[in-house]
Amino acid sequence: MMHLRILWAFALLITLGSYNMGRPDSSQPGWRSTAVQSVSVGARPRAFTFVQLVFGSQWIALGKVTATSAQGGTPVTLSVERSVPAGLTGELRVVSNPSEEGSPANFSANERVVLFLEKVSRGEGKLLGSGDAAVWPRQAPNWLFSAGHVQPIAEVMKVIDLLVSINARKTYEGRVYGLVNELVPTGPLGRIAAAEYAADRARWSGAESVPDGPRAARLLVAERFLLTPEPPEPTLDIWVVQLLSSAPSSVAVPALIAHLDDPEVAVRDTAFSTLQTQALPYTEDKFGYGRNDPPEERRAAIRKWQQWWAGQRGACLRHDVPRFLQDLGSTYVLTRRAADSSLRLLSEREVGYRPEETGERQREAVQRWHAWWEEFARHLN
Amino acid sequence: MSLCGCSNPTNPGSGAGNSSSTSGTQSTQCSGGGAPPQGPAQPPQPPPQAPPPPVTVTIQEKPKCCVFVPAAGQNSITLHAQATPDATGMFTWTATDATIAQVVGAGATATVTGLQPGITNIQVSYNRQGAQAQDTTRCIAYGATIQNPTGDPVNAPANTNQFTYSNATPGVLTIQCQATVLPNDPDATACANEHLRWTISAVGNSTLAWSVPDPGNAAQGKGTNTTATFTGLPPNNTDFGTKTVTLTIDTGGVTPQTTTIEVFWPKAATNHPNPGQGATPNWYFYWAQVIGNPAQIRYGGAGPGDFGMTLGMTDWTYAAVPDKTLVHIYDPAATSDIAIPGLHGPLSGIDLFENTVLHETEHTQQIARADPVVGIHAGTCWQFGWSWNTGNHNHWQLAAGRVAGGGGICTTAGPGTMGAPGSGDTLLAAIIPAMGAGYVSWPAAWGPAPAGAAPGGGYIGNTPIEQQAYQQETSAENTRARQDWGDPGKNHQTLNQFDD
Repeated sequence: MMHLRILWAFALLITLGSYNMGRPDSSQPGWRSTAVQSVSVGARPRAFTFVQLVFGSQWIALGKVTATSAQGGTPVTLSVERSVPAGLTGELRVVSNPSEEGSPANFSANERVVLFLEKVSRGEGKLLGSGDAAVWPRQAPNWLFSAGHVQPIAEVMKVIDLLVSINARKTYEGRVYGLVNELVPTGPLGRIAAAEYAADRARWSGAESVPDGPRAARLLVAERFLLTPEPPEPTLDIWVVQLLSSAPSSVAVPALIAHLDDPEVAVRDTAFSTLQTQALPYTEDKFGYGRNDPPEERRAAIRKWQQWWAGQRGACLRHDVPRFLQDLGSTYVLTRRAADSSLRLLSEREVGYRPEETGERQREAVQRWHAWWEEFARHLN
Repeated sequence: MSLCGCSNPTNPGSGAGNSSSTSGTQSTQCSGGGAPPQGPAQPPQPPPQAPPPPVTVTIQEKPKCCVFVPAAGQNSITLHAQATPDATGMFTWTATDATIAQVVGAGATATVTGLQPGITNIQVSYNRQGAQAQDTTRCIAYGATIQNPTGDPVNAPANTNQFTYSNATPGVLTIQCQATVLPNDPDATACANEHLRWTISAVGNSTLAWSVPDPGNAAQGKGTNTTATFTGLPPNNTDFGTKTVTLTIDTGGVTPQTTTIEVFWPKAATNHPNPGQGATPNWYFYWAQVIGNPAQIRYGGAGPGDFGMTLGMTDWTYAAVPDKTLVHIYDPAATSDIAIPGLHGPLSGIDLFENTVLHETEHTQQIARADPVVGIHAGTCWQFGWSWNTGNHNHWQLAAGRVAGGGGICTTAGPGTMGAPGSGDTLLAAIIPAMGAGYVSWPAAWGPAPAGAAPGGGYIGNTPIEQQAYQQETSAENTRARQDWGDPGKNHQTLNQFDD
């Protein structure tokens, strides 16, 4: 009998492999088409984000599997090379939840893995899992092992180290800088981790209080992706559209409408749910949109949303832009940065405003933003 | 007037606020008495006129009267004067400050209308047969506005407009009702304390009591500061939500002031009415109603970390099987989940709960659809129907001549030699290439297994069985948000945010 109480049971195993844009197959390191007798069904597990795994783990261990269970699942023995936080060394016996007898974790001997451990005591670690990783075949709703997301292990560790470092910073400004300027450039996993981190409200606790700081932080991370589009990536887009729930309507609504025809249903659904939060109190109408409607019906509904927005845009900009212009003179760098970022996104231009600067140059840049708005507002309906 | 060579002295009247009952009683007494006329005899004079009898007048509403000044419209009170020796004379009513109160007399009564908050004296003069008396009373024209609760619970949620029952059993909900009174004067406050009345919408059958009740109607609160206390959570989720607090006055006749509040149940407490009080959390009790109280769901506590589970599938064994029709819902189902690629976006709170029920209910229906494929046969490995979650499965049709229940073939201990090479038994499960030859859980009688719907072609939840259940998660995020009256919940504080 296999009891798969998935949440506490499954290993999250990061394979040593290349970034794979296709469906993983047995030729990929870490993949095996091992036939299993059955796969547990009947439970609805929680899926973890990568960031939730990182911060939900007592230890994250990188090492080599030295011994595997005869049945292919846990326990396995891991020779720990390094850990986050540091301090875990030597041989570690890794188990899943005791009730998870026979869960098909599919570890291979000599395989280098990163394991997220719920806790470790007396040389034994208990796995914290995503509910699908390490389950045969290693392809599942969870992004980490779904097609296109098999990460090089070095990149995974770099992202984990950066996340821990960013999380230790005391200011919103410092954390936002780390997410946008350090984590995002590391690659697809870094981009997703940055968006996940920004969206996770719990992660911002402990930072210095800034008025409206969480909103500005989320907005800045979202706008980074809107200002510099990345290759299509559903998992990233899901988080970016969630971040837009705290953005001003003039920024959020057009971006959300654009995602209503996303090829990935989860992105469409997330975008529509965020759009409803932003706009439904005013429209009181969904304009017939359904995430799973046939494309033609969906596009007809999107055209109605676009028409509605065309009628709202002018008033919305007249409400939002003066506030952005006012925020350019805020005491807080984070607020100034968010205002400048919003203006750049709306205007598609750069006026040389530097949020961290003060003095004549900044005053001139602020004047340029005002001049732009005066000219732009003339043409609004 | 000049009568009898003496002028009628001005009645000194009484000062403002003079509460003496004798005020106004100094009627003029101008009689013919006094020294006889001197000098030569005069022709006979008509008999002297009898002096007018003294008069008194007293306003009954003393020492003060209260008239409410509503925000819109007008409100009036009636003052009454009592005159002696009778009321046949003329009454003249006036207000010292006509901008505060308008007085319209009608004989011994007068209608006083509050014009703006303030204090003025109202005087009545009584004139009868040349005798005159006066009286005054202090008139308080007071205004009152709702100070608490205040604010829009939807667009400006705060603890002044959103209220939650306590975690105790029975749960207690307190709503302090306070009014701001003008003018800021002790007499005005006293008027308001006497005349203001509060009502609040019912919260189902929760028992309402006021800290300062209206003596004539215990369902109403009285005065400038009174607290409504509801005791005991009501049975229906629809009993919670938007309520109206109303401020009016005891005499009626004014447009009541209202403010809107929202009433919530504490999400994690267990103080809902029975069944399940003390055992099932309020979110489970009230959200189940929202989705129609499905008969098959059971609360399973913290659970193993999953949102829900169908034990008839997860715990299926050849020895015993839990009730196949039941679905267990665990605490995480009240939290949140990230997006499921290929399926839907993130779910949270009541919407995650509903989709978990939809998911697990599909598993019970899968069991019901799979069991007839092999049948239920006592004394055999099919005594509990189609096997789940065991590699040693019973998904076979025995070859002719092979009998289940003995000889090592499909006994109650397990399938035995079913499907052994050369047995001639027929596999009843479809082989799905994407899952490998070892996957034998999809009954062939159901038809071809669907293709994987996850990005890249994999199955959502790893298997076609799980994918079928995932695909029942069709209720989009926030579909049920407006029906969530939990604190925290999707109507509490931030709209659609499940955890504040």
